[in-house]
Amino acid sequence: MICMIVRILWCLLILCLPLSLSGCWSSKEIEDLGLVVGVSLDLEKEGSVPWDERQEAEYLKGKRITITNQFVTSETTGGITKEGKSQQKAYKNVSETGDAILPTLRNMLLKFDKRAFAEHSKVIVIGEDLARNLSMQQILDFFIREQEIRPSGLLLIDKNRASKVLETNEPNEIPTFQLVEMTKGHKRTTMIFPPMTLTKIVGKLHSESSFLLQNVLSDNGNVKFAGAAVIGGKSKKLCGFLTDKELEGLTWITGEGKGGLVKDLDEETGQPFVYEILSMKSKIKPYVKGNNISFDIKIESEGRIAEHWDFTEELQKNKFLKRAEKSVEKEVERMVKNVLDKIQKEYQADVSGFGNKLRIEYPRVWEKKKKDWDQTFSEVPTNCEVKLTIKDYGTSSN
Amino acid sequence: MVKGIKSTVLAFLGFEIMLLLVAFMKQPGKAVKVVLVGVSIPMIFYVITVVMVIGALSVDGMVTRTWPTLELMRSFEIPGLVFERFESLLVVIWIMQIFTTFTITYYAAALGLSQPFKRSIHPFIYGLIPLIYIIAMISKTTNDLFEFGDIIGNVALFLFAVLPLILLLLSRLKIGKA
Repeated sequence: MICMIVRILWCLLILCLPLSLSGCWSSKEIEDLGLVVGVSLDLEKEGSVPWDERQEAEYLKGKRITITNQFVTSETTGGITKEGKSQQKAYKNVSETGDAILPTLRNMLLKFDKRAFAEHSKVIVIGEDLARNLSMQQILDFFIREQEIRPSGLLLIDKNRASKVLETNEPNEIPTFQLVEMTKGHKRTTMIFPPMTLTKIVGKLHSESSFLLQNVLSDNGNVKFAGAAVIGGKSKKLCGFLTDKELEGLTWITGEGKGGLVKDLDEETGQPFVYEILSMKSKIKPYVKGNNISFDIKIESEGRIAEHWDFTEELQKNKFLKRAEKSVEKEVERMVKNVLDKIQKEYQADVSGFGNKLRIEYPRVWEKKKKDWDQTFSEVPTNCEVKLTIKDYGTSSN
Repeated sequence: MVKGIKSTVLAFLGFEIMLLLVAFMKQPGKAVKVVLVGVSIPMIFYVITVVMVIGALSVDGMVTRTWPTLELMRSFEIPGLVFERFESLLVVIWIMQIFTTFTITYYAAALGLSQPFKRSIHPFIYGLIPLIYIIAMISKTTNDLFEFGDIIGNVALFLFAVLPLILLLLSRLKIGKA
């Protein structure tokens, strides 16, 4: 009998245990959250009053950083669902100026009632001035370290003021989401670089290798991708830009493009035609002879004639196709040489993964060279070979 | 290289539980096979994890991360699938794994204490709870925790690699004498 009672008591005790489990331990009401979907960072040059006059930030040389958070809150999204009433914007941008990232972000508490929640942050846009003046590692340290911010966030550079990218004239659109969608275009054009996420950047920064970030231009609420920014390996600062055309050449070198176009002129008729890339492959092969390093780039691609302005040619005969192949090959080679010249001579930055290929094939040589790789790279001879195949010409045969 | 071997061995520790379980097995003859299967399954998972983490973060990126595997799970999103993010799943599975290793070692500890004292196992099971709690609370910082893990690994290496060998030798000597 006593045994039974003890058992029942034990059962009751066990039933009480779940009470000590805290069910909604870290719950946050969604109405109280301000979802940070995008962040922009700018360098503030003049006219900014320090918020803490005791500590004039020495490390920024009197300049400060302006951070703009793009918030999506329950109020702003409510504006979309009510049809006809689209007066309110779908987002709310809050800016604050300070001398380090997190204190500045916390100061937003003083002017914004929502709790900033960065688990869904998608894009970080860095202004050109800031990227030129401060090392990427310093700027991004908080974003890499913080647990709430996901490493899948994208990084972009803005040539003007980064906070302008987070604005749009269309009230129902959220600029950050537009940017994310736009980066997906790299599958259809060679002028957009595959998106650079925080995950990828950590390794690049630590290994001191140069890399590219997509460049955005903002103009009165319109955004446009325009080429790429080159971040130097040693300095970790922005050292220059590549134009659209140069970025195309670079995509050919890396072979990471999934699609795109090459416009060319037919030598004989002078009429334009367009080669559409269906597949792209590149092989960078390093050669080491004594102290001399050289690279062979082999690019292979298959594609089709997507546009052809001269109707006299018969595309079912191979004559024009062979001529076109040769001509596009030359054009691609020219683009590649062009961009190589720029990154080797002007920027001295290996943004196309040559060093990585050397590391894989000649690890011993790489160990010796990796310290000043960008320097070494600027004098390395390269040889480019392009092989194109035009597979078809669509539905018209002329 | 030697350093690498040590941490790899530490990752595979856990089969020492077989030293205890063999005594309870119905067919102790199959123990070797069980150990081999038991070690090769995590080995496959470890290899996959290492390849994936290095592939995603690169070696240079990985060495600066505190929790590389979690970082890998956090670094991608798959829209359109039931879940867009997978780190919570990873954490759930990881906790389940911790519980399975915990229960069996907990039992082993209680059993090991009860036998020399020739008492029933129950007081030891309850008595160990506060002890484990206190030990778990010793490390105050992340670095302490990593250090504590290293110490446990070293102790385990001694207890389950060196000690059984000595015991084996002793038992052989005893048999020889008898």
